[in-house]
Amino acid sequence: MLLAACLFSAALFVSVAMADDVQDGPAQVLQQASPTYPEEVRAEALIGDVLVMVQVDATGAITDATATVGPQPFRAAAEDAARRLVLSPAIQDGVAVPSTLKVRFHFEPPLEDDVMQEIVVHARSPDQEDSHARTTLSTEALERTAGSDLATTLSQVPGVVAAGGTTSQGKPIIRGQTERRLLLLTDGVRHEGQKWGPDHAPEIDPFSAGEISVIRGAAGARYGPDAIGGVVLVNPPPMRRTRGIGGKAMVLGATNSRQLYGALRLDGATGERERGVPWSVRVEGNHATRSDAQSPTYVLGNTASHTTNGGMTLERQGTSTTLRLSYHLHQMDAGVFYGIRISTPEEFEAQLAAPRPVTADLWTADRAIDRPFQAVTHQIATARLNADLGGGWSMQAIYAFQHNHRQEFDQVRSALDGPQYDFVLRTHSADVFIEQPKLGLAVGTFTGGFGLQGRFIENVYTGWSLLPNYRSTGGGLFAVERLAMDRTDIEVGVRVDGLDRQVYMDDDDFGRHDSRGTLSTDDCTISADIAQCPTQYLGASASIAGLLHIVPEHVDLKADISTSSRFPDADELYLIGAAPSLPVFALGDPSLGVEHTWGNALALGLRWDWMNAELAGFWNRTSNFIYFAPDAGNDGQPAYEVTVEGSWPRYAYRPIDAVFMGTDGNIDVGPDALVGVQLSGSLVRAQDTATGDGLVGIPADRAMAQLWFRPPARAWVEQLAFGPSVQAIAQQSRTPASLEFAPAPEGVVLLGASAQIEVPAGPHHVRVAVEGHNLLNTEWRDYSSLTRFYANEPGRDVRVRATYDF
Amino acid sequence: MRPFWLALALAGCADTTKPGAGDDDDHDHEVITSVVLDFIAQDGGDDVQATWSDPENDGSPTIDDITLASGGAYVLSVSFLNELHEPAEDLTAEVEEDGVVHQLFFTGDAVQGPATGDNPSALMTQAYGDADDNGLPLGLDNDVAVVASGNATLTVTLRHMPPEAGTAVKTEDAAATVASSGFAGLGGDSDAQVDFAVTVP
Repeated sequence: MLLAACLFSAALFVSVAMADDVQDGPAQVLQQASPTYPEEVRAEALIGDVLVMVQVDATGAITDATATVGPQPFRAAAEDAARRLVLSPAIQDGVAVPSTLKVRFHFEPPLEDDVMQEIVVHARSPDQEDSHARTTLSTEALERTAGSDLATTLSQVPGVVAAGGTTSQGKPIIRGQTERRLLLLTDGVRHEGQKWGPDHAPEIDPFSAGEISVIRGAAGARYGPDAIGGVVLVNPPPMRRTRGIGGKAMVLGATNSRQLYGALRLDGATGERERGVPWSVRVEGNHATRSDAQSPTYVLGNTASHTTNGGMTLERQGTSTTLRLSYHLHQMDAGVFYGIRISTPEEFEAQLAAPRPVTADLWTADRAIDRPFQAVTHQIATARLNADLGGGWSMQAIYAFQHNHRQEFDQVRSALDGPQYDFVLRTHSADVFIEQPKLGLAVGTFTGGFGLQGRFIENVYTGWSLLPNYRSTGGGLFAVERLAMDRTDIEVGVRVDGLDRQVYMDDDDFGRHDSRGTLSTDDCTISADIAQCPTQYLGASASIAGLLHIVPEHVDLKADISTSSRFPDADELYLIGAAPSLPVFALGDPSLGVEHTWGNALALGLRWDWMNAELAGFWNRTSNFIYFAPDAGNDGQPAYEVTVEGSWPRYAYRPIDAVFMGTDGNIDVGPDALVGVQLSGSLVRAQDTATGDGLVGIPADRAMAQLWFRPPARAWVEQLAFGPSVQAIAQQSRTPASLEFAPAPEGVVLLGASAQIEVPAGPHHVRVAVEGHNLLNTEWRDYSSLTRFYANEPGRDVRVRATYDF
Repeated sequence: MRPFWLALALAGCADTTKPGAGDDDDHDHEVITSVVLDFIAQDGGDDVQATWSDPENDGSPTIDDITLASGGAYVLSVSFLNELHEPAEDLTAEVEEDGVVHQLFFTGDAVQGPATGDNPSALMTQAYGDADDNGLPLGLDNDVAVVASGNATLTVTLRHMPPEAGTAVKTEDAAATVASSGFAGLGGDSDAQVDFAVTVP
């Protein structure tokens, strides 16, 4: 049964000819061949596309077939299928000539025999199948930003912006929503870090990913209360199933910040054996070291960083169960830019007008890290069980423990040698998802399942007055059901979540809130100089989405209506103190309630061999949107806080009703042609519905264009592509000046270029790429970056990398 | 970095429910809550002490007014306290020990001195009376002469100017920079910046 089922049922995508000369006619496929879905990745349900270069002689015989692009587990099957194609030769000036043909094969898990005849299958990839606007970054895209942080990697997706922080690491913004409204799932586990801070980058290693998908828009019904703005799915490559050892190695160097990066992944497997069960193991690690970055006219002092990632995964594959254990460590030491300093509003205004940071002449580029700096460690251990429950039922269960330790060292008197901010976040989580059997009825095919999530989080903070300790216990129940009909898929999801949070603060911190009227003894229990303040939240999410195949295989329309809830974070409730990076005194509000978002989204997908495109639009309305903005005193005038370090304007979290709307998309014309172009862009509008004011922090409109030239392959060059790129970022001009710390930077156009080549190296391949960014060394500031108040962005950067898959 | 197995074992431990345990005694988290000005009369008059104090560090300071004798001459000593600590911890010695990266500046319409330039309406003049290990002004001790009567504001700033990229940020012309460009023209951060109302009858 399995053998039959493993016969790949999806279509072979018609090739785009890339013959030596295609004027008279390229080689033609006379008879297609279906590839066999590899049994060893069936449990992973891996989906992917493989491009095969087929050498055709003048008789139409195939002399060679080599897979050049696509997931490694599929390449052998794709090459085998390519050799079974029946072809006619290319014709030039009326004469048959040898040529090269590009053939693309699509792989997705086969269906079970017993329901095969009744099941309607439309989708050809997770991106097409998902009812939301979803983009999965290919291996090539992930490699393009190798050595960079997760936010930079994600910024290749239209609608995603990397928001720079005070270090070399940034945070992602999806459709105007910052990280606290995004859900980051690493191998199915919710990433838990101090994500509330504007300079707290997510501690996720992009190299550990086999693919990264971005779901743009609210997806709370499936993923939970943080997924108001979107979801980032970081999935590791499939474990090796065939006996032997393979892997991937990468080295990279960059001119700006003189970055050096090396990464290695080793995959081993015992394969099928007569006795015992197969085992797979993965060991991976990478290290990046950067010196201080350079803007076009000065060094960005103390922006050096050193990052190390490591991990190990062990998998046991039984007949009906697969158990996977893994451990990963992320460690980063990153200098905080000297130019970002705590300053009074008067100083802040004065330095904004200065052409360069006041001490810029002192800064030299080196790899030393000085105070202030951040030292961050994130560890995660997971145990995952996939089980076939029989009768078509299956289960996935994951337990994870995460330990996040963030230390921030300020510039202090020499008598002090420890951190001034020390955060420990411990998270236990359990996720279970039960998938029902596929049910084929006359109306269509039902798929879906239900699940539950639970987590227990402890936050322990020591340091200058800022955040309280807390324990939170939360969880959710959800169910998702999908009906696939002839030309339409409908997906419905419902979810309910709850959270209990117990906050513990010392009497000094409680007194600070009490004196401002934000907490009282009615809200907390005071015992032994410790205030315990409980809060409970309950929220529900639901969505209904449709996927209409207007022209099957070519034109799809996605539409969804959803509602999602988000519970306030601890900082939004209890933060109190001078903000480290901004000239304000920040104050939380313990009375804040649950955010509710109602969203609508449309996405149009267009897919032909000569062009792929996705164009999306969205409109979200959020009640109780928690907004950080200037606070008013009892007299209605802006409030100021007098501290020993000066007088500061008071900013507070407060609820507003907000609307977010916008559009994003991408077009790829000639994805395999001699000349191709890729276009992408996004714009977001966000508004306080009561005042009509634009919201602070919404990224500027932006567009990107990349031109590709792809000369025909040669024996020694299997793939060659190069071309220029241009990125245009408009000025963010929609927010009232009274709400901004400083006027938004002017728009900018940045020039870049890329070149990549793939050459054979024995039985494997080596890919070498050169990427140039800001080639004209343009001075610019990024509205979405914290450093925009203090300094220019980095200047020209040329990155060279080499990758070897084996 | 705490070993992972130990962290796992400690999951759910009591440190969560005991916030600030050790904070008050933890040297790394000490803060300045109070600034004390001692005007020591040099001509037989009365000494004057004024304190800017926010002992709970909750943004509700108490600030003493300063009344100086007309025509008086004083030595002005400045000290810094952490009153979150019990008993209050005097941080002045740490500032003095780190004098090569610290300097006090006296500005506002009440004073004329190295950090103000010409101020014809000043009530007093200020001159540095001490120096750091490099011979640069520090400002924990100062000479003050009362030169006019009236009401005005004195701003006392403790600036922390640690080296950047191994190069000193504190220079001999730091006070002149403040006079010409304000604190924005100066590197470093202000550890303290407080205002006092000054009256000279």
